[in-house]
Amino acid sequence: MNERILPVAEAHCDGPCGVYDPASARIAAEAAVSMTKKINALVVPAASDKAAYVAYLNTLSRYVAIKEEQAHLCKSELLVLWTDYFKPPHLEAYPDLHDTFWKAAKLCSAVKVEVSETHCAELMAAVKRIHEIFWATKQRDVAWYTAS
Amino acid sequence: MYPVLRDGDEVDVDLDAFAAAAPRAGEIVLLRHPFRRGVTIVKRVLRVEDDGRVFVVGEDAVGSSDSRGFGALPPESVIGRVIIPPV
Repeated sequence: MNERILPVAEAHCDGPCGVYDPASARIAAEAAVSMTKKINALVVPAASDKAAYVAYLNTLSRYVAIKEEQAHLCKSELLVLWTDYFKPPHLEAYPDLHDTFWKAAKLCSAVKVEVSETHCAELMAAVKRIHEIFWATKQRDVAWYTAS
Repeated sequence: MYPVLRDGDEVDVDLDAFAAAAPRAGEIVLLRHPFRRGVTIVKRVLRVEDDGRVFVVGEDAVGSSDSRGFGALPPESVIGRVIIPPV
C-alpha cells in the first residue's frame, strides 16, 4: 500500500466564518455597565423646571435604551459562543460549561431589568470566566483586559 | 465523528479498500467534501443508494454537517476506509 502523509481531514464542520472571540461579549457587557453607572450618576432636576426635566427624561431614556440594547447584544454574543464555538469535547474539560453560560445569560437579563452595579460586576465576572475557558480551549494565553 | 474520533486523532486510511467493492453501511470512510475545495471529511456510511452514491452521516448528529444537508455523495468522493484505532 502506498504510504503518504494525509492532510488533515475535518471530522466536523464549523460555522461559516469560524472567527470567535469573547471580546465582543465583553465590549457589550462593558457598555451595559457603563450605562448603568451613567444612569446612577444622573441627578434628577426639579419637575418644575420643565426644560431641564424634559432633557433629563430624554437622557435617562436614551441611557436605559442603550443599556437594554447592549445587555441584549452581550447575551446574543454569549449564545453564539455557547451554541456555535463550544463542542462536546469542551464539555468534558469544563463540565460546568452550560451552567456558566446559563447564569451569564441570566445576568444579562438582570442588568436589563434592574439598575444594579452589583449585577454589572457579576456579569463582568461571568464574561471573564468565559474568556478564560474559551482561550484555554484554544491553548492560547490571552490576557483579560477591559476597555474602560 | 465525536465521540468515536476527537479533534487531533490520527487514523490510518486504507486507500485500496473500495477498489473492488463499494463501501457498506456502517463503515467509516474518508471522503472529499462535495463543495469545499481541498477539504476531506470523515463520516459513517448510513446507506448506499441504488445508483451507488453514499449517504454519509457524522456520529454527533446535532453538530454534524453531512448528507442530511448536502445529500448523498458520488462514489468518486470516497478516498478510503478509516481504520479506527482500538480503545
